[in-house]
Amino acid sequence: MIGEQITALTGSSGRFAALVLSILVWVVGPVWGHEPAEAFLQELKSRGYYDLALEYLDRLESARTAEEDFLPTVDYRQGEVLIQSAMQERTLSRKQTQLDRAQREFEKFTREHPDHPLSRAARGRLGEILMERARILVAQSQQSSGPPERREELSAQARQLFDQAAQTFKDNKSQLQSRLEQIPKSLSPQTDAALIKERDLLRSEYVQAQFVGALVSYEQAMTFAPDSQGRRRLMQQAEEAFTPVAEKYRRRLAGLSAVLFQGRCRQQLGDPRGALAYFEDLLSLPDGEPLLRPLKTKALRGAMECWLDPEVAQYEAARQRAEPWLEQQRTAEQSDDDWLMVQILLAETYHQLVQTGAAGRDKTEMTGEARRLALDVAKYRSDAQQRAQDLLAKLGHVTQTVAQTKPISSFDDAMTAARDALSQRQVAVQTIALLQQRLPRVSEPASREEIEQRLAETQAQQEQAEQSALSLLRQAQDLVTDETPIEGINELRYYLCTLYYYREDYFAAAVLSDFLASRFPSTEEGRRASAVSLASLVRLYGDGRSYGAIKLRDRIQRTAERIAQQWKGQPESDDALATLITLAVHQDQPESAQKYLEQMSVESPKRAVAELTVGQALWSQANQGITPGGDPNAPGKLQAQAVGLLLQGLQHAAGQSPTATTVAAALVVAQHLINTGKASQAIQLLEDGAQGPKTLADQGHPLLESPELKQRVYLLAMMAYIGAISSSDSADEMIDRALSTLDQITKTTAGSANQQQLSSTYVLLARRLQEQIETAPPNRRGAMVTAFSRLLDRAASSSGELSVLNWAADSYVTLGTTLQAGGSNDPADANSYFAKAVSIYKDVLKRIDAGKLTVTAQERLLLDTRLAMALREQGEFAEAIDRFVVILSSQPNQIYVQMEAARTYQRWGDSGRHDAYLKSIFGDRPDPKSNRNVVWGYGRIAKLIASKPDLRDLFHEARYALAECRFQFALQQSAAERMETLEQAEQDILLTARLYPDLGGEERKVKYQSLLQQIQQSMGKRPTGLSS
Amino acid sequence: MKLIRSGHVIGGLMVAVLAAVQLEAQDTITLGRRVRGGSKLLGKITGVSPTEITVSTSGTERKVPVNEVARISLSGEPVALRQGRTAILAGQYEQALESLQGLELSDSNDAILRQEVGFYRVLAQAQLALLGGGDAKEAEAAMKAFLVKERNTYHFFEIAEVLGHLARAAGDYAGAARYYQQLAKAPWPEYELRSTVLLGDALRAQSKWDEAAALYERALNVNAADPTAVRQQTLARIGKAACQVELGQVDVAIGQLQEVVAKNDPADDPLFAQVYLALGAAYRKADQPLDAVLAFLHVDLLFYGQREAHAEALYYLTELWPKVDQPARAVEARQLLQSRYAGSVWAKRAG
Repeated sequence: MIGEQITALTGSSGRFAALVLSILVWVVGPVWGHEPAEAFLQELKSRGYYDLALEYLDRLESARTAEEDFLPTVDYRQGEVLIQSAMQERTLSRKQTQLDRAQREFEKFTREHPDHPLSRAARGRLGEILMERARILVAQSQQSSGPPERREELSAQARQLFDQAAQTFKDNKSQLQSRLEQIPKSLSPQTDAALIKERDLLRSEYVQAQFVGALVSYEQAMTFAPDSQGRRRLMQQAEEAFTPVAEKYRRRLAGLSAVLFQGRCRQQLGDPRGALAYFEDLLSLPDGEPLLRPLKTKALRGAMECWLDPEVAQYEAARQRAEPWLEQQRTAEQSDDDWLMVQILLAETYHQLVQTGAAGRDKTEMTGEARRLALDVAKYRSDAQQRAQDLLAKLGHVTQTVAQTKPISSFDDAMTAARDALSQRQVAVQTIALLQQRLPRVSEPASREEIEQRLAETQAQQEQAEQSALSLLRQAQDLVTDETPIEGINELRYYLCTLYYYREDYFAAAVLSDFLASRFPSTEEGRRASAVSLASLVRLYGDGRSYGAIKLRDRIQRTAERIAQQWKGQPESDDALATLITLAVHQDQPESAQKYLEQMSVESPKRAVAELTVGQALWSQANQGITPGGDPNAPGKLQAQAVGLLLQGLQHAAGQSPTATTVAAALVVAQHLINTGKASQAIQLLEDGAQGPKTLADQGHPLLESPELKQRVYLLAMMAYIGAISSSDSADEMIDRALSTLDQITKTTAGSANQQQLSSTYVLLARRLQEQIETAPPNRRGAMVTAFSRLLDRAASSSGELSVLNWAADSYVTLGTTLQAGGSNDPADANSYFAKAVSIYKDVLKRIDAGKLTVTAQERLLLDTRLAMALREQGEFAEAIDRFVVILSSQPNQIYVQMEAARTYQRWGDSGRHDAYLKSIFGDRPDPKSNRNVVWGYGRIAKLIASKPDLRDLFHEARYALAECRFQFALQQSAAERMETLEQAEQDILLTARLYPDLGGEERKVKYQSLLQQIQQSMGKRPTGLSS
Repeated sequence: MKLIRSGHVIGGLMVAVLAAVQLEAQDTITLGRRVRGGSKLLGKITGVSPTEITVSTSGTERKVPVNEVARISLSGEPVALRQGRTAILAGQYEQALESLQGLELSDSNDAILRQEVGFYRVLAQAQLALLGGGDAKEAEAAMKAFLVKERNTYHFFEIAEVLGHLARAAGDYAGAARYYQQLAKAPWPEYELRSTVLLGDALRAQSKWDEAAALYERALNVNAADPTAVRQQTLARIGKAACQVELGQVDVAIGQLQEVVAKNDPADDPLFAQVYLALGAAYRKADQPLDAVLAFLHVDLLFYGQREAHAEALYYLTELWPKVDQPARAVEARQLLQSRYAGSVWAKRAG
């Protein structure tokens, strides 16, 4: 019995659980109640009906129909069912849940029945649960698609659980020891039979507890990275713990298993020769003992790994040991993991012997043997399968598919041959992928030709293998009898539907796989068929344009929902949820997509893409704005939610290859971060080593081939650098990076038709900067202005691009304006920036006039206007007006330019040239031909646009400015003249109020009111404002 | 003296040898475990009738009531008879028939031996027919022919019961009732009870719930103390509960059935198989599919030796598994039903 225990410990934990159970049954003995509870429970478990076993125990507890002795143990038995069920469970999340529940049940049992004979066993089970939970975390860490930190976090959690398990086993060991000490040393078989039985059991449990304690250290060590200090330290600790077990109990299987682990510890500590000593020790044990057989296979596996280690490289020794061992393999061992691993290691040995030229036999024969072994291994799902497929791909193509040697006379014959054919197909597929990867890298024509020829041959082999598999599976169908087990029939169905799928007969694949998945959901084939079913339906749906696509979409939805529900927490469910998310997003239902996402397991490799897809969908929805009657804050909240999801998605995608989805998501998030003042985080995201869009753009990654996308990436990067100037410790560095990015933008846009968009972006950049400067703390503002000015200087001097120059000039104006508004102590500061802007604009115009730059009429108008405005800001009013006159002479109806010209007169008036106020009202510069003023002034502007509702805002601006100019002019007049002008100013406002009672909205109304009250005060009237 | 002494020794040896030969040549009557604790009676069976077996032991004739007999074995009986009988007791009717069919007997053979072989042949044939593995009409005819030929067989009442089952299975309830009523003619109260219970079962098979319940009630009102009679009353209680289920008194029925479970030894496979079938039906009626599954599973997992009950349980499991989201298990149950009980009424009903 102990032999089995140890085998179980070193092998599958499920067998270990079963064994412990058998011990307990032996301890407790059969308990027959009125209701045959024990027997029924046992049968339910042996059939694997764990769900029902739990339901049954629940019912027994409430109905109390079982015998009195049985009822107190219900919690223990529930824990036992749960632990057995967990051992069989493939999905880590479900396994975890069941173990958690089992733990609660055992804890409850030990708490409520501390003196029950099963209580000690329950405590042992708690240790096992902790260990199993730790293993789950280790597996999650290995399978996690998340960032390295997440994997390390999971490993750390596993280590904590291993610590707890170690403590539990240690306590258990102490209890066993103290109970053993209570048993008298000398016992009589006649009178102390029960005590002898208990002592023997305690001794076995004690040895086991020692072994498991060492095993905890070993498994804990494996949670650390190879070659890390942590792994080394714990591995040494484990080796020390295995040593006394190996030495004291060499005649027991526990001791021999400890030797195996001593070897494994040595191997892990980078000492393959030392490990070999232990493995060889085990290999020298006699062959005939059945209990030792699995142990010897494991030892051989370890030894093979050591012999193949480059440091040892004893390929011949490996071959000599493995060949005779494999010759005596039994049928039941063919699919065993250790045996498969020995097989593939021998195949690799042959390959090495051929490669190194050390083969004592014919090379072709050895390669053939390696291929045969690898083909055998590739047939079974195991840890060795991938290795076998890789080796097969490496060994090159098989000149002909393995001929079917055995005549087909039964279902089993047909299935075995079909499995072979499918395995050959798999190898062909893998070889094709390998060759296709290799082909683009080969330029030499002869080599290319050889690869192409191999490709064609392998494709033909794939086709041949598929046809052969299909024919064999159909033969198997015909050979089904009443005795054919349902498992075999389902395996046949699964292979068939998969093959239909491969052969693009999606309709047949969908029908058969759906049948299998819906009728046999609890089987492995049913579960796997669900994926084929969904994939086939998705293929049939295609781009959704085919006839009946809507019905198909509904069917996909139903199927995916069923799969998601049925295999909750399993990869198939996550795949189905991913499909549902895509469907929901395509149907513009981001909320549904989000609900599906919530159901997806956190560790799913599909999680990242799903989060990114949903995040993008929510982002689009947020950008649609506020819905009528909706919450005005909703878009903002939605945007934050979208960004949160996108960030999560990007975190989950870390470590994976970048995709168009990750790039798009990173850009959205970066944009949001910049908008919300988190430019440094945006930089981090854009510059991420593996996924950062800027990094990818710099590397010329194919994902960023499109100039538009590249341009967007660089612009965002530049905005981020600029945005980070205020918070960065090294503003200079940010400027350098911004400038370098500017160069990249310039390169990217050279010859692009996207100049207009680029210009708008530059304007945006300037505005962003202005906002930054305005909101910066006063003590940093000066430094920021200086830093930014340097950036502009360099940008303007280093670039001849119109968009860059425009941006620089606009930004100078912005800087100057910001300084003016901030009340700079020295007006010269602001003026210098305006001067720089003027200089750039003039230079640009000069180059345009010289034909060095080409612009549209609209761009020319904009440039002239900006120059005139910059001159105005600089205080060069006369020149500014001259510039406006030039523009307006040819385009008098440019109403906004007219407004700027009127404003220029007003500003001139403000600067002391009082008659300019009148010009701002009535206009100036009569056209010699028409005798009409080229500059209209506020009065005419307002009159001409009064009837245009879309220009109502501008109208009020003009009317208000008119009254203001009149008021300011009146203040400069003599007392006699002043009253009349003030009355006119008052009438200007009152008349506007009479004709347009809303006065252009509340904000402007307040301004009108305030100005009117000032006018009334100046007139000596009561300042009643608009109510007068 | 020496001679005499030697002669005594030789004579003593002779007696011992003869005694051994006599022991070998004796017939054995195994008495029912419930009645006589499974003890054996050795002697020469000299006569049989539907109610008693006459056995001569050491020159003394003794009459053993048939209701106390579990089985007999005859001195020098062929191995094939022994194998056939053992196979029937284990429910292996095909195997039993195979053993017994090969036996060739002539008129010179002992009459009781001929009766035994003949009886087990027709019994195996009938049981197979009841499980759908043979022609019910042929089995009935063979059984009747046997009865005509062997009027004195001590298996008379057993044959009456099996004929009743065959008629019931063929839907001939009136015929079934006629056969079952024969049991009541036996001189033992438990046979009368058995007759009443079987008549109740026949009515239940016709969905005559009230009438069946009344018959079961009648059986329950009999003052019985003998364990065999009490067992019949327990079967009547199960039958009555099954009727109550159909009459809408599901909770009462479940209570009754749980009481039967609580008060009986689960080693009585036939009785427990019936209890769990009835419990399954009750929960099914109460629309508690999970409880129903658990009840029928008791039969499938623990009492599968009761073949007819097992087939019935599998049929209902086929129907109930999908209701608890386990369609694959339904397929497995159907497959088992079709392969193990092909031709049974339950397999046919499952389609």
